[in-house]
Amino acid sequence: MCITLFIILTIAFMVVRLMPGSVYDNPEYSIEIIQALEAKAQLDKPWIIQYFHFLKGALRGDWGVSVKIAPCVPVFDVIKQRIPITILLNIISLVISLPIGILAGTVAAMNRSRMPDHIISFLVVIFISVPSFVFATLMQYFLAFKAGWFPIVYSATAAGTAKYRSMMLPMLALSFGPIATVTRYLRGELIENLSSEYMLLARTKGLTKYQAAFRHAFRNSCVPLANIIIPMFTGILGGSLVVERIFAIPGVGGLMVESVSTSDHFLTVAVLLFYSVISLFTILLVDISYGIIDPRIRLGGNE
Amino acid sequence: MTMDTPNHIPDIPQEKFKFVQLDQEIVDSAFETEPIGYFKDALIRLRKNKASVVAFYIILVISSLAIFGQDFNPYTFRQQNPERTNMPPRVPGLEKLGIMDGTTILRNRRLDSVKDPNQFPEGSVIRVFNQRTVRGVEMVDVKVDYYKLVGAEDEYYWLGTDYLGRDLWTRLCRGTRVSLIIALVSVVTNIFIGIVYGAIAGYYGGKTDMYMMRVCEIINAFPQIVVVTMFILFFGTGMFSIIMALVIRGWIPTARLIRAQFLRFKNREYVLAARTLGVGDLAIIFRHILPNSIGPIITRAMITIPGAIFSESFLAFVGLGLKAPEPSIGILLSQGQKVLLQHPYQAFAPSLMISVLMIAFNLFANGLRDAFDPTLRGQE
Amino acid sequence: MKTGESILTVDNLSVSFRTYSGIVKAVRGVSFELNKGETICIVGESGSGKSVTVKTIMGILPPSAVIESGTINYKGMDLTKLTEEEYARIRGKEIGLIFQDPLSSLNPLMKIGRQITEALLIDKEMSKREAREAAIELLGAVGIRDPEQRFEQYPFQFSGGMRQRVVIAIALARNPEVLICDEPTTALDVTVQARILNLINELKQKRQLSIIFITHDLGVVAHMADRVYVMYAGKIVEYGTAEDIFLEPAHPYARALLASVPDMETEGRLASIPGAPPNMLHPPTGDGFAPRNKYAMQIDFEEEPPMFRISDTHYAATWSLHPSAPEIPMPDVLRERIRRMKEGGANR
Repeated sequence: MCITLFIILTIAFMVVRLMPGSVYDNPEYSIEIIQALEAKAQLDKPWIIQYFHFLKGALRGDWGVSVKIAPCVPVFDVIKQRIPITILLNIISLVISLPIGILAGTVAAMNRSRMPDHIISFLVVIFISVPSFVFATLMQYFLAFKAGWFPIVYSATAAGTAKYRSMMLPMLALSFGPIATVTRYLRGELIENLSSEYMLLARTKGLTKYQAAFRHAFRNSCVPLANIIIPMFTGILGGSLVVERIFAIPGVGGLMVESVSTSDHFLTVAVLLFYSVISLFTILLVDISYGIIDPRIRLGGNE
Repeated sequence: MTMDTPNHIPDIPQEKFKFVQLDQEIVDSAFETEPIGYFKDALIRLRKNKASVVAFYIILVISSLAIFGQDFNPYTFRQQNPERTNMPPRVPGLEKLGIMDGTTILRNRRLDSVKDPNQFPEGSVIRVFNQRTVRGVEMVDVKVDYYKLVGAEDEYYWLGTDYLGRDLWTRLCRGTRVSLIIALVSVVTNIFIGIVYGAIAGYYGGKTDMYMMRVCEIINAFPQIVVVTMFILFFGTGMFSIIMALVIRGWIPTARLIRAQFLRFKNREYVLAARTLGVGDLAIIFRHILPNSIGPIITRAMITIPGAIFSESFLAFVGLGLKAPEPSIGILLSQGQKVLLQHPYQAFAPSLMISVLMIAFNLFANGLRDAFDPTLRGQE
Repeated sequence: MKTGESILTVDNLSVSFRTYSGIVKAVRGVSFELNKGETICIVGESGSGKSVTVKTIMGILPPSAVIESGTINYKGMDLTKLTEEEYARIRGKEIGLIFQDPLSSLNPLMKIGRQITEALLIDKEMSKREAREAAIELLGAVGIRDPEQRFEQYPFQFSGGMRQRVVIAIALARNPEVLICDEPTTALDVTVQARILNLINELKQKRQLSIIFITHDLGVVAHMADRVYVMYAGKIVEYGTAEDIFLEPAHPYARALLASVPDMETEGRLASIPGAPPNMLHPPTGDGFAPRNKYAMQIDFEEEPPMFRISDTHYAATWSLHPSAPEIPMPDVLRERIRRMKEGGANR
């Protein structure tokens, strides 16, 4: 985990360092200014010194300053403003997609090979296949522009419900995929567990079908959900990069797109690091929670 | 005591009580059904799955569009025409039904300009509505036949044109081709690296396996977005670097799959038998173990393709796509998205294309998975 | 033999499975009865319909199964007509079931204790604390040491034999009168097998259980059974007391089955039954065993044999018992063994 972060840091450094041209490349700057700027950022020193300089800075939370988007503002501060909205968007999407997916998966599994199952499975394929930015585009046009049910873009200034209403579409666009993923996974797990021997034992105890399904199969099926939360969350994060741009949400995702297109490299690297940290944090969290949930791991069983 | 206890003994003619097979040797009866090979079995199952069959044909149609589609009309994907920018779609035949007929709605026009035949030639205005007065000026929305408006009655742009007057049908076909090539090449490379890596790790096992898998874990800990973005920042945009960016992390699932297959099969009796006969490592790997994994490999490849198409579009959206003028589905989509509210058709066509393509590949992959899944084989 | 009152009567039960390739007739007109306090064994090879029969009794058939005909009479109720809720009251409370594979029949993610108390709490007559105490007592009763500690553990911390004890404890938690054991020892080591069998016998005495024991292992039958039903191709082909079956097997399948069991005197190749069991997609006409029977007669292929009475307790469905049928010799191995057993019995 720490090693991974360290490697990411190193690669990030190399990306900045070896990027063709100078970060300060700007027709308005004279060569002297650029050289002065580079000297200030120690870019004129040999790379090994730069590397240590970079690491030292990184450890102190000094990621350099933004050059183009918000000149001379430390990139950390630029990101900091943008984090809450992105986190809010992603977490809400994750939080709403879990229960909906679990519900749909359960309904499908309990009605296996019957109408509800077919309908849900069909929707799952569509929702898994169609990328979130396509959903975002279509919803923006039809639901917001044509029908006028929602604001077309996010409005940060709007207060209260209006603000949340403008967040509805991006949240929906981000949630469809994860909902489908959870549904498909839970359906598979449930079907496997429902036909297991211990379900029969539970029923021979005298539990009714639904009691047994809920207390045994359902519970056991939810445990491995932790497995797919990591890829799901990084998937949502990735989707939010684009969806944020489509709905003009001033989040980290949009920042990344801007910084890439303006080649504001310090900022890009910082944003990438932000994403890495979030992903690593998720992995850690899931690892820990997995241990708590599954007694075989917690108690060191070997099955 | 029980109900079917007979009270009478049935009358049966004596000759029925002859031994009939006293002299025959009773052997285990031969397996009745014709033996069905692994692939034939999979094919039979695949054909039964209607959704997969439909998906397969959709993939075929889209692929042929990608290959031949751009030759269907006289335009090329890079030919710009400043007089034909943002033309709405117009298709012969369909236009009579009132869809894709080259009409569009122009909003907020001055009423007097609409009445001016120099600006709106005879017959180009279809309907004038929403008349209102803004600061003393009469404003209207008009529905116009755009082709008449710009004097292009004889031309047909099936999916319209973009802001540079490039034909979108041609660009979409070309873009689909580019996206499919990126997807295919990256998937094939992924699979190849994955097989080699996984086979080595799984076959030799032990420490080799442990170190190799640790490397996978470390690479896997990087978020996909981060790796891909850094890679492209580093090597610049272009087809090759996009493909490489998709490969850099993409081979890991295949490697894991192959490794698991190898761990499972390498200690089977038939492999041990081959080894005791002196068969070399390479022969064991390629002739005895790998064929068992072909089903899962094909399935894996099919599942990865939509992912690669998605990643390419994603990169295009972020601004790390191919260089102009080369189109890809993602680039068309992101360009169309920018003018969504003015010219929605420019976003719809690529949206539809990527959605159908992804759905078709996913359905087909699902069908393949079910067809190849050995746990299902022989059951039902 | 005990002639107690009958507690469970299965009459002419037929069960089919709908599959893609057609209808599989798994059980074809099976009848048997279980008397209070006795153990009956149903013997047969895999696929003969034993497990389907007990699953029908427990009402836990998979959805693809259909009960074609027959009744299962338990205390005046026809179990085949019960609704799911009514069945839930029978299962566990009246009839308990022990499965073949203790490794997979316990929920891997639930503590042992909770899996037992869950059964105890269904009747809502106990508080949680009482249920806990009762469960610990049960664990002790099935021979698990340190039940207090074990209560808090998970299945993966138990050995196979231990798990089967837990399954037995669960099956007995609500004091059922009938216990069905579906090959409970097949998945266990031989030494553990004997202990589990003894435990079941012991519990039967203490709790006055009536037991239906499903097995393909004749050694187990000899250890457990008061009466034996031999099943082949979805039918009962012979039944009688354990002595009847072991000393005077009449149906060719029962004979072949007995002959295939090795004992101390067995020399050379082990006897096996040639041929393969019939495909239940196309159930055989006549005697299902005929194609594998050296002494099969014309009639065996044409008409289904009725149950012939051999003695008051012993019945068999084979044409060889028809008065017109020629004498069919007992296999040598078997004749020799029966002779020894009879002598042994006389000496005892």
